Amino acid sequence: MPEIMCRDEWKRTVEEQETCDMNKTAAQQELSSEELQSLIMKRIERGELLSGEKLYSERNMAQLCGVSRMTVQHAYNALVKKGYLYKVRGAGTFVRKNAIDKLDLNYLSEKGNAGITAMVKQYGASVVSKVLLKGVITARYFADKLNLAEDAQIYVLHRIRYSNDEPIAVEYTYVPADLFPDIDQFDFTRVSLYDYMDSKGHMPRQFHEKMQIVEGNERECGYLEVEPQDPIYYLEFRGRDQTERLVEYTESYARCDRFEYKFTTNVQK
Amino acid sequence: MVLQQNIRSRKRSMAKRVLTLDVLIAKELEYRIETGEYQEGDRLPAERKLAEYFGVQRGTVRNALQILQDKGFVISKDRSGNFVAPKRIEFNLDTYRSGRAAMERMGRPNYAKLLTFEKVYVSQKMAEKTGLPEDGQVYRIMRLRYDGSIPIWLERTYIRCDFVPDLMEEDIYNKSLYATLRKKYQIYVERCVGKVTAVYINGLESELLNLPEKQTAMRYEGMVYDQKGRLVEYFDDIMLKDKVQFAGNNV
Repeated sequence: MPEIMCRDEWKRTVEEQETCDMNKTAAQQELSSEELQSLIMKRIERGELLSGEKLYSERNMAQLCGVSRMTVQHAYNALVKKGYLYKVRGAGTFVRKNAIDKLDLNYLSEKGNAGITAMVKQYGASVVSKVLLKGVITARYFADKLNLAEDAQIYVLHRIRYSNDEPIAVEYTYVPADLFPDIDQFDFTRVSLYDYMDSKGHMPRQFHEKMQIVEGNERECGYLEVEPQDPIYYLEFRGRDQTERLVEYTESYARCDRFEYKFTTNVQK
Repeated sequence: MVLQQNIRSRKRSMAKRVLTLDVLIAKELEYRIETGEYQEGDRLPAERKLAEYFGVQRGTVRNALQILQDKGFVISKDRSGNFVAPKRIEFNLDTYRSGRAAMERMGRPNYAKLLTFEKVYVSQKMAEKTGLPEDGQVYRIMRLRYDGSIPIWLERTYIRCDFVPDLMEEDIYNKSLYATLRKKYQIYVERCVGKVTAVYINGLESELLNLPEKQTAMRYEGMVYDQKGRLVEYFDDIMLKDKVQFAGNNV
């Protein structure tokens, strides 16, 4: 596309944005960094900016939209964080591949593939985990979630899940220690926990889940490499094996910019 | 008590640290909240008392309370202490219900203020999302739903005009929209395809929900189909994220 057309296109989108925004008072005529962000995101979502495409330099974009360079810089940086853009030193800012293909944050897919590993694999990416901590504890909160006696031994496995070198979720998993006596010998950096559980005959098949959107605290935001106070999905789920025994309790924090929470519900008759 | 023993024995041995003390204490308090030992609105024991009870530093208890505040289990009030937060309004992932029904199920006094009732053309964006024709018309119904006296939920509902000719404001004012659909139009909602994401709220939303701008909120969108499989409603709601949750058996 000749550059001049792109320019017109941009201006049109900018104008469209301004006229659309009914909440804007006359005093704030200039496009804010947030508005510029949503404008760029819109263009990516509509397929007007393709993955790998280079964006205007900060200076040119500022001129084009009639805003300061700082505003553009701020918008670009925010979108880099959100996973829409990436920067190459000395070359510019580009649209990231799969910027809008968010993963479906639904634990059990229709094919019965459970867990983040399976979800991500469907998208052709691989998952690597970093084990934050592991070991045996007793605590009645977790025992209660797994329907065990208060003093039952519970195996703890905390992991950060990475896809394409990017953290996408933190998972705090608790399983009954007596069902998985040799669990500590496995390296869950690359081994899938569900594959392991399956090998023991306790693959979680039915889930009860709870979902909220929370403001991440320092710990989780740090693991996920997002800003503190950024919104993140918080999921809590309990998995039962084929005998309906509770075999897993997991608290999971997932990045809102990499996942989407979708579901279908029916009206009860 | 198990946790106490656990904490004490670990303090003695200091052997392997699996979970930190603040996390363990937060979980113990969460357990007490979930099992009803501490009820909604109850004040938690003072930091000092909890520290004594668990045999830990006050700083550790403070961290534990911070974890609970971050998760919305506990609300801290200046000088008067920490209180158990009201339960979140729960949307069932197995059964679709209207907003009104979801709130009533929680036994919460609630009401909705009707903000707008108008006919509008389907916007380009909505057409892309829903597959509705761009020149078609929809009723746009905006309602602000309150939990007690707190506005927590901005409902923005769009209904296809051609399916509900002569829908009147009276039909929905203080009434269940779905009941009207049933009675007046023999439309029975059957299925909802929903999506929940996080958004930064803008001017009008922030004003209505009484939340500073650029805060994040929960966006709940849904496409609602009737007994004939027709898309009758699209909604795009904004809710205070610390007031709601979704839950269900995802089998």
